[in-house]
Amino acid sequence: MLSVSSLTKYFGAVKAVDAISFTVKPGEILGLVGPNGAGKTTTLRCLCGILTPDGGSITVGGHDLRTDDLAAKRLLAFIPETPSHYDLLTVREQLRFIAMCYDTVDEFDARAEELLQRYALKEKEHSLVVELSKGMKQKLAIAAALIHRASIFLCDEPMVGLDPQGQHSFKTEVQNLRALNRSVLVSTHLLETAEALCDRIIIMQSGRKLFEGTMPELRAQTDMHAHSLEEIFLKLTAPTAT
Amino acid sequence: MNPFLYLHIYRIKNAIRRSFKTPVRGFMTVFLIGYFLFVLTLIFALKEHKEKGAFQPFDMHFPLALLTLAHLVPLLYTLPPPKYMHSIFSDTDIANFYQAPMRRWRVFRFFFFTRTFAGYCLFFLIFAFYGNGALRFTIPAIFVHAKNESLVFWNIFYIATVLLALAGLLFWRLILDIRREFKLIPSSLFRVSMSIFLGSIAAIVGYSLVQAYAAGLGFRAGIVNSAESLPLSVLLVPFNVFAQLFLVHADLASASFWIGIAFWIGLATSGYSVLRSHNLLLYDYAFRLAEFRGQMVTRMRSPAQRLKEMHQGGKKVLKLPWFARLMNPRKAWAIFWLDLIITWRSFGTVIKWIQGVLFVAVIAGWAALRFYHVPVKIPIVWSLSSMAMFLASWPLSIVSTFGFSEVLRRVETQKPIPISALHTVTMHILQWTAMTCSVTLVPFFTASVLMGSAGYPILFVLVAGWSFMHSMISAYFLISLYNPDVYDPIQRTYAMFFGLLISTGASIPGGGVLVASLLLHAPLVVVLTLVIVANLASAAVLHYLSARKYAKFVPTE
Repeated sequence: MLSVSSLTKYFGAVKAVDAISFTVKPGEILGLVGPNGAGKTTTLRCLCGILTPDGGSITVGGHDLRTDDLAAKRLLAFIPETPSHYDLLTVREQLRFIAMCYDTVDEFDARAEELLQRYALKEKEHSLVVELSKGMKQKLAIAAALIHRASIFLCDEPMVGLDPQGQHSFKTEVQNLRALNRSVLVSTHLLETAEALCDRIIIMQSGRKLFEGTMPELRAQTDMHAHSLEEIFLKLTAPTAT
Repeated sequence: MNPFLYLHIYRIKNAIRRSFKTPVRGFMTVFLIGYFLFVLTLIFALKEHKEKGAFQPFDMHFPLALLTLAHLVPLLYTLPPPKYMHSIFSDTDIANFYQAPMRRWRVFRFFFFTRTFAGYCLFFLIFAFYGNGALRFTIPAIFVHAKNESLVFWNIFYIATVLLALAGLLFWRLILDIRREFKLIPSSLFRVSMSIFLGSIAAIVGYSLVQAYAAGLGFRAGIVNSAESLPLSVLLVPFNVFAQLFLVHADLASASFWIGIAFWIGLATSGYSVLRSHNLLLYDYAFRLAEFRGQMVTRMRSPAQRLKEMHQGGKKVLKLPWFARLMNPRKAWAIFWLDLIITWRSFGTVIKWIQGVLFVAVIAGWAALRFYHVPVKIPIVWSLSSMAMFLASWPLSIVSTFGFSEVLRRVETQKPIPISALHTVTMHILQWTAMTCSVTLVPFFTASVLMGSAGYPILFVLVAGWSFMHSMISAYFLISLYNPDVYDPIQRTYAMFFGLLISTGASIPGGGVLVASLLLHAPLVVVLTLVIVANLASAAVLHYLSARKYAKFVPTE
């Protein structure tokens, strides 16, 4: 469903993403982990169209993001690490605005009602975004990503700032999406969550892919059979290991 | 509905609704609108006043030529790489629109017109009544042929010229924005073309200057000839119209009016930039401060040694002057100096350069007057300097105090400084007093020295002025602690309004003492001492009240 080939992104002379390739299949949750500065956020921002890659190709549902970007973006939804909404719209207006951008206003009312209830935003639906707390804004970002029924979800640290109920709702949501045959690419520093939630893991460092595969494959490759993702990650990304 | 229209309509609707959410906000909204209308009537009153012939108009050719050429300076801004240029998109626009299935060009087109075209149209609308006379006056070639035409002709002519200028301005803006957003024009090609454009203008100006000097006409004639030559008048049509509007029927009153407006805009902009960069650095500052204090408190090794080790370890460290390293970091005084250094460093290179150039220009100007024995009436220098000091100190102190206290509260909740609330509040008020005075009173004092007037009166103004400013900044600091959202313009405005009231109240003891002492013909030293004591007492009360409020701060997040 999502296919990335030799994706490269420079910031000046710095190579933030170095020819990374992977695919995310329908009904699969792929975890993207790595230390700070590994290139996870840059990769996700390239995939959703906020940044323009300097090299490589991205195919979304068979549509090339460079040549057929409208069709490709229609299938994508992005949850950023730092939610960025228009301060002077209310919660409901922000959701409607996103639905309008994706041309899905017809089913907006029912869908918005469902999401507002699920993410405990119903009481705040007429509050301005500027009046929301950080956690509420993150919930709104998740609701906004879900409003247009995308096929591929790109999540950049989606649980930062969420309360335990919100985190639980999000994890359940991701599992529901998998059941609905949607693809999810989630970048996170919560290694326990990644281990429990993701079907496959990519470990990145300095813009490059160190590993891609399932947890059993990771354990076999590193010869750390009884170890957690956290322990393997720390070993792989230790300064001496690079 | 189109999502762009939806976004704008609902944002405007919510902004209006929010402006009247509480009686105080409603009052301040009405107050602001009234103030805006008042300023507009002043513009028209100025025009009427001049039409009665009360002022002698200047010779416009040279100022116009200079101003037209000055409009070219921003184009130099296009030469650096695009990452240093402002975008018409905000971060929120990028986050919301770039990922949406919309043509980037469509998004660009909408924001380009709403954010650029709307601003220009508003500008020309305001000057619609004021500007057509300017065009009559400043396009002599057409005026000669059409001076007997009707008013309708001039209005049509005005609209046509404005449209031409608008098209020119939009053209330049389009070039800049397209380059920034789409990178359609290769960087090297763009730089070469802009360099050729600016270079050809420089060549024409240079050629005209050489010819003028050869003919014994001088610099002014050279500049005027170049700006009024056919190539430059065609190349610079939009800038020329802007220049004409700014200098319409120029005389001393309107020129000073525009300089005043530019001064305020410049100060507000630089104040905002300082505030923004300061906000970003303050968290880093709190971290370094805590570390620095930790080193000193443990006294395991000297801070200089520790800094050396950090340098060797490749860490970015804050380089502090020797006197700051020697101070006891448990004391508020050390934090005061550290804060001052950090704030100065956060000003940014451009602002530091602008301030430096202005400072040198002011001093050099006064020195030149004295060196060449230009007869200058001392009272005029005094009144102009006082006016400059007043205009500069208020916006800067208000902007700085508001932003700083808000950020400080947030830093305090994350990394508490182990000194009392009263000390914390006092040291930051002192810091902003020093900062404000350094950019206002220092040029003032230098001027007086250069004019040969240094002495007791200067000392009196200096110290008494500082003490008044200290009590006024203390008042604004107190009010800012009641201002929950520093980024909300309405809250900020009513905080300014009440800040003005309280600062006026805080100045009453000092003012009262000053008036009473002068009436009683007390010696200058006694007057000075009493004024300072009264102001310090007034400020102390405000510090105490600020500390009480500050200690009770509960973060909302």
